Amino acid sequence: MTERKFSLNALSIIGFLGILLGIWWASMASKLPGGSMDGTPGAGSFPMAVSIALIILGAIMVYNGFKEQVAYFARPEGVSVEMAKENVLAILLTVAACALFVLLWYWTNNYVIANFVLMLALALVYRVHVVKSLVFAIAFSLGSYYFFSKVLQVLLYAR
Amino acid sequence: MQMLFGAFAEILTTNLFFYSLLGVVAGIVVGALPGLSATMAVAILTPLTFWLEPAQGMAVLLGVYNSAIWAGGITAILINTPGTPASIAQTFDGYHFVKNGKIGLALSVNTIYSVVGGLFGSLVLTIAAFPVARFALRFGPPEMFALALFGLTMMISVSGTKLINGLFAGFLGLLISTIGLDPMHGMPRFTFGNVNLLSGIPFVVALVGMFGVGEVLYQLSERRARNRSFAGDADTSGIIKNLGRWLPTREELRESNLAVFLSCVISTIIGAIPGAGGDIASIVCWQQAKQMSKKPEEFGKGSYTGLAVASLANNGVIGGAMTTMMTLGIPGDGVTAILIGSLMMYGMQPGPRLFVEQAPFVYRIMALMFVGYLMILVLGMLTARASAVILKLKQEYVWLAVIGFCILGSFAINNSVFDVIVMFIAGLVGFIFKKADIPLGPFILALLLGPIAESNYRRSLALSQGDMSIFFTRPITVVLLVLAILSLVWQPVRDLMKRRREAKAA
Repeated sequence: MTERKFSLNALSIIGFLGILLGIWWASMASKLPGGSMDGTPGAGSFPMAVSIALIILGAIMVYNGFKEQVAYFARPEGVSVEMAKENVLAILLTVAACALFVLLWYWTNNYVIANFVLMLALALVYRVHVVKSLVFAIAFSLGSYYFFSKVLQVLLYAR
Repeated sequence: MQMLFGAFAEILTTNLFFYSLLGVVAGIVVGALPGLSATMAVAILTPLTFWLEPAQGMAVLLGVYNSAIWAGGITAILINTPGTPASIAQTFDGYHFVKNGKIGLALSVNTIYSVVGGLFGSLVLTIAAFPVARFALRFGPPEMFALALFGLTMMISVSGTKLINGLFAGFLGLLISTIGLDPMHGMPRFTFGNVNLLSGIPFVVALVGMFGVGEVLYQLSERRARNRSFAGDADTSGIIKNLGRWLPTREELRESNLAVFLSCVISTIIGAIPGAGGDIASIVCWQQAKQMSKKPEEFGKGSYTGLAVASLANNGVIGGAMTTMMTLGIPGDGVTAILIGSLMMYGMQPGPRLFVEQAPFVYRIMALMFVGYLMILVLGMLTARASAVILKLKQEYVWLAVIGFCILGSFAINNSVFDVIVMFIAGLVGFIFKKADIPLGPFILALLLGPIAESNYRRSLALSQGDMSIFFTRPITVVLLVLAILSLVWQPVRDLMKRRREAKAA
């Protein structure tokens, strides 16, 4: 974390999203039964109370975020500028690879292919040597498939 | 007593011994690698042990839990980096032993006192669990609601320096816990027409995502160099060759006796408090030992007693945490929160009824705790050199393996790709929260305790026909609610008093 001038930071953004989530949830909870004649709270009462609390806490977090002026996602200490850029790219590519894995697994219905592509892609993103990446991807996808489907009898079908 | 001895005999003569050993060995690898915590390992392994018998699955998970906490001390000592968060206090003195050429002694102190703390905690579990469970059988809906609230507020108050962030995480978890069927009337809530959400957000899946994938993304963001081993720049080859003296002297043992005994008691009590774990216990015990020591100047510079109590305390909490988890259904720390999910996966509900309906299983767990620590004692003394080798593993391979096992574990619970998607989303949320200094513990605990709190709150008001005084006229409920409020206001009040003192001094 580093300090910088007054600006929107992660805490304020998360707090703001919390407010939006609370408002949305409260609007859905208001359509649920609130309570019964004998005083028993209905299905909507607990979510409504929690939503209101979340809105208030979100507002406080937004205020704290503005007041603190701390950049939570800035380059960590000890990490060079080049490495920080590479790390950000690696994180984004990891997220993309995981999304691609789910789509590929669902589309092909074949765990081994999808997992092999995921492991190979991630290993290359993390700059593991190409040959080692291939070996790891093959070993993990086949090994995990064999262990789960043959030993544990878990069918690794997406659909 | 007979059932306990029967459980011991069963473990030593059946494959439970093998599963416990498997867990202990897995825990050594996990605990010795910085960045892989016991919480993460138990979270990932929980769905993978789904196909085992409950006792076998718990044998693996308890073995991992106990040995990962002990093994975290190995890297704390060897390279001044805690293997798990609970090993932080071991870095205060442990690394100085290495610099002074007493590596063997440091590693054996870690092993011996971790086992002492663990066995003491297991003894407390064995003695106290059934009486506490009998007492807890008297709890009605108001007491259970107050207990859930107490557990949540305790976790929030100890989870970080900013109370608001903890409260936000807690209430967000409570909000998410309302997804699914209404606990009293069974009507779908916040499911958006998706049948996969009728049973709510799967707790174990969210846990695996946050502590598995989330942690990998976080470590990726902090990466300083490519293809770096966990040892970093430390020279592990020298460690392997020059271990020096192994056993403590009589004088060292005598000097630390009182501090060790007090640390056993303190750490077990801290473990029993919901939310407080090994990191808090080991720091508290270390500071306590320093205050009562005749040589306080040695603490932080290679004190034998300092390392002994720090090693003892982080394993000593486990017995207390397990007692709270099993008797009340409230987790004593992060790992026991996951173990609750494991027991629920096996169709058991932790709490006082477990002691009535599953007494033989409870005794097996107690026996497994003792057997696990005896395994750690033997393996710990034999595998010190091997631990230094584990540190040569490259980070990238561990990250790949963790992501792979997270996918498999989250899919395997319900054979559902939807769970894998939830796991990835939870991982992303976990990463963002960790970077933004928002604690994960309250979120996870709220996900677990939310349904308990809501259903008992509504049942209480159904019993009293809407009269709120039901929460203020039952002694146990009042005590728990007061403790819950105190746990939240204690930190801000203490900070305010400190600021006033500093202002007066200025």
